[in-house]
Amino acid sequence: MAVTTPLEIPSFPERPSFRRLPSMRGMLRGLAGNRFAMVASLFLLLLAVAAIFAPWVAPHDPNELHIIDRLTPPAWSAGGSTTYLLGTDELGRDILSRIIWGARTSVTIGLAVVAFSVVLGTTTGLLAGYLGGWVDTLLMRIVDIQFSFPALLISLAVVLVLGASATSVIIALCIDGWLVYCRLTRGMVMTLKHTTFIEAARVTGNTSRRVMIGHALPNILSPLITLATLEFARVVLAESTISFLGLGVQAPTVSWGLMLNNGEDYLTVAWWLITFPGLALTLTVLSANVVASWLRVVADPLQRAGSR
Amino acid sequence: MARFLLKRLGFAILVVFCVQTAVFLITHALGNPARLLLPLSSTNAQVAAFSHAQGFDRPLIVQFFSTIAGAAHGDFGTSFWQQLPAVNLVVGRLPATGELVFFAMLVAIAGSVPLGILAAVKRDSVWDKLAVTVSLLGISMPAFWLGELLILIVAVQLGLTPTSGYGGPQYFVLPVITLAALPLGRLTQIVRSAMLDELGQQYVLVGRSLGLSTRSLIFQHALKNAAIPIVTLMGWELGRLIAGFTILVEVVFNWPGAGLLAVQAIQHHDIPLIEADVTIVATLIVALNLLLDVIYAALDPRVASLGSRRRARRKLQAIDGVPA
Repeated sequence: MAVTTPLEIPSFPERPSFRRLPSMRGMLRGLAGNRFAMVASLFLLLLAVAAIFAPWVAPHDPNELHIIDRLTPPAWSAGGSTTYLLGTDELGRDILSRIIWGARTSVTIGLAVVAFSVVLGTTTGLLAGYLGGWVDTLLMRIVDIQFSFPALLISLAVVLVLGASATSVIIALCIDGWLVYCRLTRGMVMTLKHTTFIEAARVTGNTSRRVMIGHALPNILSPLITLATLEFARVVLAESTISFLGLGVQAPTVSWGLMLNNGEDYLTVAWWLITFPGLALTLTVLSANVVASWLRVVADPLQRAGSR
Repeated sequence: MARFLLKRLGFAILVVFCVQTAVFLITHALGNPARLLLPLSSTNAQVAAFSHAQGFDRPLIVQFFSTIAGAAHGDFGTSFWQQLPAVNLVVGRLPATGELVFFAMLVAIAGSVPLGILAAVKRDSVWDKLAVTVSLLGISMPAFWLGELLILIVAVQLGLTPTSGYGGPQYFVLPVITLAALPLGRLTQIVRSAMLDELGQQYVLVGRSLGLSTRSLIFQHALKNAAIPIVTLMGWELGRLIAGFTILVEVVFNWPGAGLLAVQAIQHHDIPLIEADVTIVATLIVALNLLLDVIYAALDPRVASLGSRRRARRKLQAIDGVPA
């Protein structure tokens, strides 16, 4: 077994990466050099455009029925029509339009959950890490316990009790979503607390709040953004999962998970019902993952040098 | 050692208690369980009568203690939907879930270890690219979509396997592949980066200069040291599978396991069954974590301090990339 020498890989000791994100221009230049991340970012951009401009971009109303044209295959296969580029479902609704509107649901729920969780998690994490004491002990116990929770089952129970709707899904996903940010922030603040610049900030008479928000927070921003990107992927997936099980978003709101649920009954006759919404979902999650791992490398020059 | 075990056991019991409390609060305090169980058209008088019959009109704290006391004796009440003791229903479904999880883990480990090692040893080769592709796809593909695609292609178009259901070996193929995809992706990534870390260590250089063969360096030295994070993560993935990832696979393939039962219980608004299912699943996860702790403590005496697993997890996250 011939092996190219694996010894060129430098190894770095475990170290916290307190690095600010590079400038916008630097990031764009880096993006141009990484084809993978480039494509992923473009896809996320496309997703955002579809979500924001859904009413104008979608060729049809997502709930408009065309019973005569029901189960029309995509335009390029036999029997397809260019009116419905990706075909129609069992009620004659246009798949492409439904995917575009589904993007709106996914992005809205994803951003809402991430925004709420980031704010709550970062605040509690800052407090726990900076002040320590019983708040810290309590929070870390919760985080440890949550690790053994059957999260999906709990979310499903919450949605059941609150009634199936987009709002319930957001609440259910927020309940345990903020804990990750709390743990991350707390860990980084604990390390930061003993650095010279934080001590200097404290010695020069800044209030605790000012030290936390003005000095500690900016230095943990880049890992937070990376985590938020990863979490966005997780939340989008979780929303589709709950909707797929029929307990989440309800018609007339369109969701990819709901489309996959409906399509399952027509698996043998219409492959396009499940293929395209699933593809949209997978590409979204994949893109967010790729962008997150790229962000991580960009924000950490040591990694950029080629440790991985 | 005994002290360590006692502490872990205490924590395990605390976790199960917390899960119970959470489920109780969700089902009893967040909404009215009688409203949830009765048809929408039922009158207020009917709801009140039903509440009284089921004991839902007692003070919450009384209900809570009777639920906890029942659960401690393994009694979660009678399923509204099936009119059978809820525990028996859940326990009866566990073997099917266990089989699924066992074979999926087997496939994930058998696939990820060789692929991860190859990718780390032959960096930037075809194998490395394959490993990256497999792990990215495994992480990004929703299990239910992967399951539907497999049914569409393998079962419907090619007719090689049954589309769904439970039975002989042919029924296992698709659900096992679907369930294995996610742990396979994540484990491949971990094996690769753990091996990369080890191969970059000084001792590999020393071993090489002493004339050790590449094979022995990789398998006897690097792999042995990389095994600790890898095995830890395997335990973790196993826990995650039990914690909920079987649910989707069981729903898609109509697999008669505890996950499908949980979804059915939720769809039937069957509160005792939901409580029984969630609690038993949580207990299994906690027991698994406890078992892993004991194994670690037996393998490495330094581990027998309470914070060590947490520390190990943090180390893993550093490898995994998520900053801890």
